Amino acid sequence: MAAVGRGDQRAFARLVERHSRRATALAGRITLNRADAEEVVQEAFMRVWVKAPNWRPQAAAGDALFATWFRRVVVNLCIDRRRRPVSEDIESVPEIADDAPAALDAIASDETRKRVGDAVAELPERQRAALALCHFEGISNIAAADILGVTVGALESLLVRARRQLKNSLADLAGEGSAAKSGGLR
Amino acid sequence: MTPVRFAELVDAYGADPRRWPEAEREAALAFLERAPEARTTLEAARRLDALIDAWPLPAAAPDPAHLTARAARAAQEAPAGNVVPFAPRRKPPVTLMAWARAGALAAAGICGLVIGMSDPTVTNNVNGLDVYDVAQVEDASW
Repeated sequence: MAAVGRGDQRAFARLVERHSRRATALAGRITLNRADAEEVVQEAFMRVWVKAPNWRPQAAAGDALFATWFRRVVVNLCIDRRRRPVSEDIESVPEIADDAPAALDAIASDETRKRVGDAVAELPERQRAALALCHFEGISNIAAADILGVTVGALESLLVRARRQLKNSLADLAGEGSAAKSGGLR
Repeated sequence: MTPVRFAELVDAYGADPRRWPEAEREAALAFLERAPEARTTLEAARRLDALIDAWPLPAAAPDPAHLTARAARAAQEAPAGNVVPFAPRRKPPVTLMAWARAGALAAAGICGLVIGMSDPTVTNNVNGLDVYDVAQVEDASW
């Protein structure tokens, strides 16, 4: 960030290279829209560039601190955007690979993905953001709460409500003997 | 770790201990060892986790070179010192003053309505028809 702050475009390019993929995955899961996700990530990197000269990392927190801050920018930009219906977008775009522990993605059927996508789209954005952060980003609950600007208790409340709604919406898939156990995701 | 807290953890974070709060993970795993019935809760959460794993991604990552070029352009156009703070958004608390303002606004609205309904021009009987009649009388006098 220090190099980016000095206007080093190559340093900025490395930063983009390192964070854009995961940031786009996070934005995509919250906005549920390809164009919005790309715009959010671009806008977030614009802000990185503008903010960089005044960036003051604390002690040894360095990259982790930047990642948390950058996720907060992305999440806030996503939530600021007006929610749009996106079911067509989800169906028409193939998934990209993600570093998150999502091995079952590979065997999930299109129909299951569509059902999950529809159910997720019904969640309020903050619940969706909480779930995306805690399920896919591999960050602590404290970091997720910090990114969302809520207490850990409030984060847990968002997560519980999100998971319960999904469980209800996907009851036939999430029930006994279904899902991964019996091949419901194939 | 109590059974209630264990259920809350699984309800919120799912079945994978890696997603549980670090401060409670060890205690939760120990609880799971001595309370096999908790595995039923865990199994249900695991099925939901598997479905959440199928959450589709609508977006592909933008081209980093394109982003870099756009950032450089934006930096040239941005005014100096244009730094945007990113404090998390919080709803402002509803204070007593806010309620007082709302009450004053409502009272002003009611006063306006009452005054409007008692408009003296209505009681003067001057309306379009009267003016028309006067005009006709004047025309007739010609």
